[in-house]
Amino acid sequence: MIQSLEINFSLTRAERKSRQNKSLIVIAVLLTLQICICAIRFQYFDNIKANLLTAQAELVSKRAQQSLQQLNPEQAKMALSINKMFSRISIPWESLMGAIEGARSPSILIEGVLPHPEDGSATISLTSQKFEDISEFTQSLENQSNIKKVTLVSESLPQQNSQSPAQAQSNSLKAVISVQWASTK
Amino acid sequence: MTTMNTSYESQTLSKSYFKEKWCSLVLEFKKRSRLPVQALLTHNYVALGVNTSFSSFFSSTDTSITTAQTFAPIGLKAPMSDSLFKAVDALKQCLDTQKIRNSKINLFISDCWSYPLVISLKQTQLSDAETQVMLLGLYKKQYPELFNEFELSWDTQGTQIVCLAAFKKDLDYLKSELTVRGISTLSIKPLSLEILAKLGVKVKSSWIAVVEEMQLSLIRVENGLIWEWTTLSSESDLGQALSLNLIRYSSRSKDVCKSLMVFTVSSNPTKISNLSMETLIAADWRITDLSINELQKGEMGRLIESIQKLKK
Repeated sequence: MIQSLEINFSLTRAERKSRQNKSLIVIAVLLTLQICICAIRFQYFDNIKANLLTAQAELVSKRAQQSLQQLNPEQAKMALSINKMFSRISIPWESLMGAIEGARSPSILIEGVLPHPEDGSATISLTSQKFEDISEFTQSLENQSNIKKVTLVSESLPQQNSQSPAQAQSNSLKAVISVQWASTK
Repeated sequence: MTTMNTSYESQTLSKSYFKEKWCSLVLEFKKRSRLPVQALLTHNYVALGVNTSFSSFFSSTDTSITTAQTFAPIGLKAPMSDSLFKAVDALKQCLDTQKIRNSKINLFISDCWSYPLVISLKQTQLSDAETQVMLLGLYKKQYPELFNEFELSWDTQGTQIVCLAAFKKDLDYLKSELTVRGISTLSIKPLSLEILAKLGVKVKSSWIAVVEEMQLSLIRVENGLIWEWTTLSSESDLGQALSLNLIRYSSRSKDVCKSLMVFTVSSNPTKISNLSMETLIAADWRITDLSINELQKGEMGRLIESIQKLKK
């Protein structure tokens, strides 16, 4: 293009190229510098945000404790039971059961689901013929969007010494899995 | 009635007085702020202006210190280099009058001191040094009058090379005179290429003639690329030389383009209006006159304008 045609008697071609290279280097350095500054600022503001959120959470819990301390023992008892009731209501049964159902294979038998609303977790006890099925179930649970953390708490093997081979074959593996549900907020 | 007149006159006087003061302040600021100076050299005119990159701030064309000067043209039979020497002397005079020192300058020089060449490369990729050697060889064949004493400036556009040569001693004289005044040259560019660049998208497929009083540059542009570039000079009839060249080129290279755009740098009516192009018109050529308004706004346009005003 004519606009980009550089015919100039004040600079030789080599000088022009070196000048272009220099300006490119300067631009690259400036850009890198700017990106670094932005990253540092982002980190700094992110830390401030995290600190503020922690401080806010501490303040809220302190206030809650203070308000509890102001109550007489009976009122405090009642408040605690109401709290428990609210936290039970807040258990996301539907999504929890949906996640378990989505991860479960037919060979797994769920024996019970015990939710712990205080820390947003639930304990699932189950039985299965094979350990592979339990492992697969654990992995599938981890992949569920509304489940945060899956831990295999315990697992009991059939006691082969005390049982006949036929009994051992019919016995299943028992496992307890702890999961933490993700809050919907 | 008399009182009213007097107050009106005093108002006008004070307005012009303040305007003058303001202009001189701006001018002084520009000189001290080391803004680049722009200069245009043609074979018989020289124009000088301080860069008005702050034009939106100062907002008025009155604040520019564009000065134009004419000097006795040298007939084209005289050596071209003498003519550039005279132009440089006129530029020196302008710089000294405006007391411009320790500054930077962008120069636009007329094509009358330049020797253009456009070649198409069909070989494999050449290095810069190899291209330079090849171009030197071509120039010695094409322009033997340059006697190995020339400087080349070239650039590539796709598979083509656009090249321009000028006498080394002319350029050295120009640079040394500027250096003596503490002025560093930012660029020395050919006028016609700058005009083409400023015409921008208006030119797609056409011949462009940049006309000066006794010389013209003829450039063939196709899709934003330069295909051909020649300079013609004639004391008698530039129009006839132009027509002949165009018809000859078209028949030789089987080029079907029949569009010619004429941009006139100087406006000496005695010479320019006499461009006799009857031959072209008879051969169905479409000739368009480009005015200064067709150029994108810029310092170069204003320099050309100041030259055009000299003769009007």
